[in-house]
Amino acid sequence: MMRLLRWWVGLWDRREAGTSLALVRILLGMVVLIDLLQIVRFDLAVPFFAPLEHGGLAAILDRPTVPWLYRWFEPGPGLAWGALWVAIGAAACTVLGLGTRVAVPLLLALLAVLSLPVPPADRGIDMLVRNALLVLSFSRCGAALSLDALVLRRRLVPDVLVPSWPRYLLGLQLVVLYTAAGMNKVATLWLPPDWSALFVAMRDPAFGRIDYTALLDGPLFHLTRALTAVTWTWEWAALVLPLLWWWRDTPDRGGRLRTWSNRVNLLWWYLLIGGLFHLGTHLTMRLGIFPFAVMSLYPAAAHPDELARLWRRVVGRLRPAV
Amino acid sequence: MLRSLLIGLVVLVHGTIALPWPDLKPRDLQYGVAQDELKRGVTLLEQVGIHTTKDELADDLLAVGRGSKRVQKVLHGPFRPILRATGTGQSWGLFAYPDPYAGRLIVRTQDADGAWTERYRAPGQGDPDMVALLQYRRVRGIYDDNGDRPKAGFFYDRMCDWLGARILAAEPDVQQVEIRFDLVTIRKPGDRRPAVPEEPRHVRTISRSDVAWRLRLLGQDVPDAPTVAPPVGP
Repeated sequence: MMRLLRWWVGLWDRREAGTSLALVRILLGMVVLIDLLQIVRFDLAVPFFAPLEHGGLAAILDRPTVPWLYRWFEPGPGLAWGALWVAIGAAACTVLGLGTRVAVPLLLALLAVLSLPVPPADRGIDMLVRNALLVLSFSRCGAALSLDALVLRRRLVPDVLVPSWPRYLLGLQLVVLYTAAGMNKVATLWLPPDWSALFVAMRDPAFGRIDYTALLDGPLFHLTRALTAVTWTWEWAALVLPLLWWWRDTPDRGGRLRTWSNRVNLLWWYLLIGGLFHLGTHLTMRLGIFPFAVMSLYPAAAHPDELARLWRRVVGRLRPAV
Repeated sequence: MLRSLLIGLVVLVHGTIALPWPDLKPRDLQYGVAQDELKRGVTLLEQVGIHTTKDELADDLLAVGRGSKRVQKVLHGPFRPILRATGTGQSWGLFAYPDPYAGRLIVRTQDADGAWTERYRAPGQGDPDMVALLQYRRVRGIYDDNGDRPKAGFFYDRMCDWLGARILAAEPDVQQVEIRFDLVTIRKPGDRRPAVPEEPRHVRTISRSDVAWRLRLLGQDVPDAPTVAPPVGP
């Protein structure tokens, strides 16, 4: 028992280079930034964030608990636009790594409070974004690939180690996201012998990129059934991720499965399939920021040393070509 | 040590929130997809020798749902304020129940001569600006769940008013805006049931006098019409 406890304490006390977390910060920040700029593009700040009497969709001031933003500041179109632009600024600073310690929690606080007026406009993916921002708020995600690092340490990737636990939590978030999604898929459409879930989802006029009626009624129907089975299996397979991480972390322990998994890079294959799955759903369906927000967490699944090795390989291959 | 204990607590709380809690409520059963699932559930149970009816199965599932709520209240209740303040949580379905009775959003406008013009038809047909706006994920979130609802969601009506006012303010020639869903029954290849024609639902027709208070906020006065927001809802 004491050994397990020591392992647990030691696990969350580890340190590593800050590049994995920095990549998550940059990618997630970009997704949020683009999404918030869409609100500007469509002139939606007032309908989404102003009270009803000022042109909003929600009677936010009549609710039993008025959110802090609307108690602390004068509610109206000015506040709606002001809060949005501050959030955009915080997202930009998050991407650039400028004042990261302030920018990330500020962005989280604003996204959380701005989600309250019109709950249906706040999707599951917004919750995932906030989960990740909460973890990043307590991390040193600005220690690398940031203006902070450039100003304070004169290097984009300074020689400092940051706590690993935020990266572990973000990795676990991916496991929870996929596994829970798999476990919740108990509708018969997801299960054999039906397997028509993707077919039905793609035909939903709210989500299909085009009207797939004619296209999917042919042999492609069976392709969607196969992909339904793959999706369901792949989501459940996320349960194996912690094992893959442990195997990669302890290659010296040996064992045939561990050695084989590390040699063929099962982890990378899982992430590659995930990337293809998300890109595929993005190309065929209108899912907003979902695919990109989820994939922005992928760097957390890899140790920074592995990412550095991958980077060196890519650069090494590109260099002779250049 | 303290950090590892706190992280352990966080992992435990979020891990249990993410479990597939069977939170079934009576209103969930009003959806066509829920009725289909009940029917299939009864058939499956019959096949393993358990005899039940759709109503009995629904009652049993609702009882499980109530029990699930009680357990979650005890387990997660103390952490709810933190989750709410940070807007965080773990409830992931990712199309857990794809809807074979989906809604096709349609927007039409009526000119001064009385002619109706279709401006948007899901998926992706119509005026490019309207298509981009209505397919933006946050806007879509307000309406995409309404196709098979017996009664449209609260924010759907507000969205109709807002969208109607937006169109009426930008286009003086438009007299009325109609927003509706056409209920689409998605049939799989080989489905022997006869095709079901699309059926209009939640039809909202918005004229200038209906949204005079919104138009006034947009700088347009409508004579003899109320100019303050209706006092209702959340």
